[in-house]
Amino acid sequence: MKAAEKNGIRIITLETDHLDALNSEEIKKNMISNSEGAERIVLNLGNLTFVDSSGLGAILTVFRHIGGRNGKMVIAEPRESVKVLFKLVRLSHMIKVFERESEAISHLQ
Amino acid sequence: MMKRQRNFNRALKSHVGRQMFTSVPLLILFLSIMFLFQSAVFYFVELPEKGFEPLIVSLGSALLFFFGFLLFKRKPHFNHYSMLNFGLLVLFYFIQFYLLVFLNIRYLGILLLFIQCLSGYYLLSNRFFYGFTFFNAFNFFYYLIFHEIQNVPADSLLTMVISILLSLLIHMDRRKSLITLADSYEKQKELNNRFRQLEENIRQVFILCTADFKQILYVSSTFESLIHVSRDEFMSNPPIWRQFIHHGDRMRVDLEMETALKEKKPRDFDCRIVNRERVEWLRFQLFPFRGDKSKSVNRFAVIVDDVTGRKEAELQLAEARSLDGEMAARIQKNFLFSDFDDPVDGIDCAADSIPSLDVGGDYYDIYKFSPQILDIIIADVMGKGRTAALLGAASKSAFMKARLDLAVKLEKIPPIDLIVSETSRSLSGELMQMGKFITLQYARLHLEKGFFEFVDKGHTSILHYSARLNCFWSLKGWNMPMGFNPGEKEVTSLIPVEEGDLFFLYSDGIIEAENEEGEQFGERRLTYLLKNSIHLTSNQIINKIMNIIFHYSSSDSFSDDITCIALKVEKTRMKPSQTNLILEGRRESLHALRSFTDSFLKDTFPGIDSQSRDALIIALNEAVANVIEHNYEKEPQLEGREIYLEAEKKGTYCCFRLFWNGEEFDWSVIRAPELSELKSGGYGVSLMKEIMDSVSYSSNIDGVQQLIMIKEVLSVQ
Repeated sequence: MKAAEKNGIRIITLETDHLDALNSEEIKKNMISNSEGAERIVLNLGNLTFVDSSGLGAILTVFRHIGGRNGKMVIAEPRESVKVLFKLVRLSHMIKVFERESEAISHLQ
Repeated sequence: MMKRQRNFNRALKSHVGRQMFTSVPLLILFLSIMFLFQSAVFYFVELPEKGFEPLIVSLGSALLFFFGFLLFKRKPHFNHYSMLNFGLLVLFYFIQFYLLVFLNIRYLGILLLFIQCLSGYYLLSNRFFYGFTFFNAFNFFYYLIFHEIQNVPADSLLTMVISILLSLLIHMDRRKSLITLADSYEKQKELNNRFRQLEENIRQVFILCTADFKQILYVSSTFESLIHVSRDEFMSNPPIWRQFIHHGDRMRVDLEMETALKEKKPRDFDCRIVNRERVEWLRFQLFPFRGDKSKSVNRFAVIVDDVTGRKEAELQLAEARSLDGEMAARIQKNFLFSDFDDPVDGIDCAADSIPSLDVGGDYYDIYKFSPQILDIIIADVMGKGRTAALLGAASKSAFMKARLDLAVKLEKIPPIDLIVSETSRSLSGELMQMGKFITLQYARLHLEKGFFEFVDKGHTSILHYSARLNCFWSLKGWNMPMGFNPGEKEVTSLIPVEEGDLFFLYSDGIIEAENEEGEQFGERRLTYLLKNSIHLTSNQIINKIMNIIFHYSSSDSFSDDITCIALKVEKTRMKPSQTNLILEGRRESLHALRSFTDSFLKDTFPGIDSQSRDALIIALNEAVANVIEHNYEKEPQLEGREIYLEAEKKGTYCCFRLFWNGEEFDWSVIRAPELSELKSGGYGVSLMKEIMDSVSYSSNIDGVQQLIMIKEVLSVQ
């Protein structure tokens, strides 16, 4: 997992290719610790080829955690295979999803 | 003398009344006293002229009669007192006659008249009276003609005149009394006659008997028309009638009589008798009363009535009512249950239903949409009897209408979930208002596609025998009974059909049939039974199961309706060709699952779009993750056990079947949570349902669980 700061916006990039029942707990904790101290966060999912419901649950937990301290989180660069799940659960009703990371950053600024 | 006699007579008469000389000893005593009195008269009046002879005769007679009195005193109930009294009077008469004629004591003629009176009044017989009158007349004429013609003494003449006058008087009186007697006799006769008319013309039989029923005091003449026994026979041997009582009623009749005897209150009862080889119904009405000045109840008046006609009418009515029920059952059998006069090629199908009452709430329907498509409905309306049967009929016709409407509207064979939801929409409102509901399954055997589809609305599970796996799966659907929630989305479950498979649909009456110990038949027993009958035809299977359930259940009739349908798939067009994967039951296997699924889909459905493929991968991943989480991770020793995945292409459908060993798990419990409430996982089952066309879960009796997921891949090229 990679975390970078750009114009006061923290960009967290997941480096694993799947987020499923196997690793969702660990990654969730990592994401929460990486998001500490930031108000605006972009979650880059560009490396992920597969997310299942527990992975989605992990993302939502992080989103709620950040929302709980009045922060903002958006998702950037999900692959098609991941977008299938987002579409199925209508995730866009809750979290904004952007094709490019730059779009996400400009949205948060 | 005469006056004194008459006074005495009157005094006696008024004193003891007509009953005076019914007692023989009393008459003897009376006559003895008469002689004693006479002796005293003779002693004072006749002794100087006639000497001792009349006195001796009179005293001797007094003594003779007195000893007679002593003799008869001990026998007060002498039966033939009237004849004896007559004899005594004759004796008395001839002693007086002797004194009168041979000893010439003429005033004794008055005594002869007195005897004449006594015989007439107190012996109540004309014969005696006229006998004495004849003797008297003879006596007086004898005096008049032969002895007194020259020298007529005044006393004799006076006696004679008085005698004749008295005779005439008595005669007049007798005539009058005779007329009254005749009159009262006529009246009695008339009364008797009326009573006779009454008793002869009233159909009912009257019996008067003692309170212990042992002695019959009276029985009317119509009695003989009731029982083939004469009145006399019955009077002499009352218990004889018992042998005519129908043997089934004997105990009851005895009990009724005993109760009547004990309670001494009016009582009615009916019983059957066998008379001339015919069974007749008699109604007995017992009225206890106190007869003959008795202080307690000692009599029973019994009225016996032949009520056979009425009883037969009642029975006919009852029969007519049950006939009505039979008709209802027949209508149900013929119209609510369909026969398979139009067999479907490749399917061996049989069904039967036995209602618990005449008619029941179970029904089934089998409809052939096309040579390849067979629709089956099995339904159980809550409750039993005619209301349930009518509701069944209503829902059946609603199904037919929905089927037709949708077929016209869609211009194709309508999918089953639409048929069910259309029917549910039209019925649910009324059902909910009535507080009733229907559990049912709408199933379709689609031979062309090779699927058995069903919508399960809270019905008992379907038993599916898989010939290839040689085991029974207990299939359950997802919906609630009709009448619970009209807006509910109907969910179709799809099961791949293979050659030799059997589908057994049944109502809960089968598994809930109870034996004498109250133990239910149960699905397990049914499964074993089917497993042992799998080589039989559908018809034989149904018959066998019905028989076994019938013998298993303790009562003559079932407590609930029993319905079952057996569908045997004899041949299918498709040959199975599966691709298999064995996974270890841990999360690390998920990756292998995903790549297997990906390559299977790419291989078998080359034209599949990536979105569908990705979605299918998600669904499979969710399924396996769920199995691992809910089965293997809870029990550490189970972790790593195998999960079998079978992937198959069936026409345009791809089928995935997962098998694993584990606890039964109620998948329907997991509801789709709101996304906003989503924690980790939990969304899996609803995701699977959303992605797949059908997700169905079942288990077999060996504890193997099965999850079948089917999706039609439309974009195949």
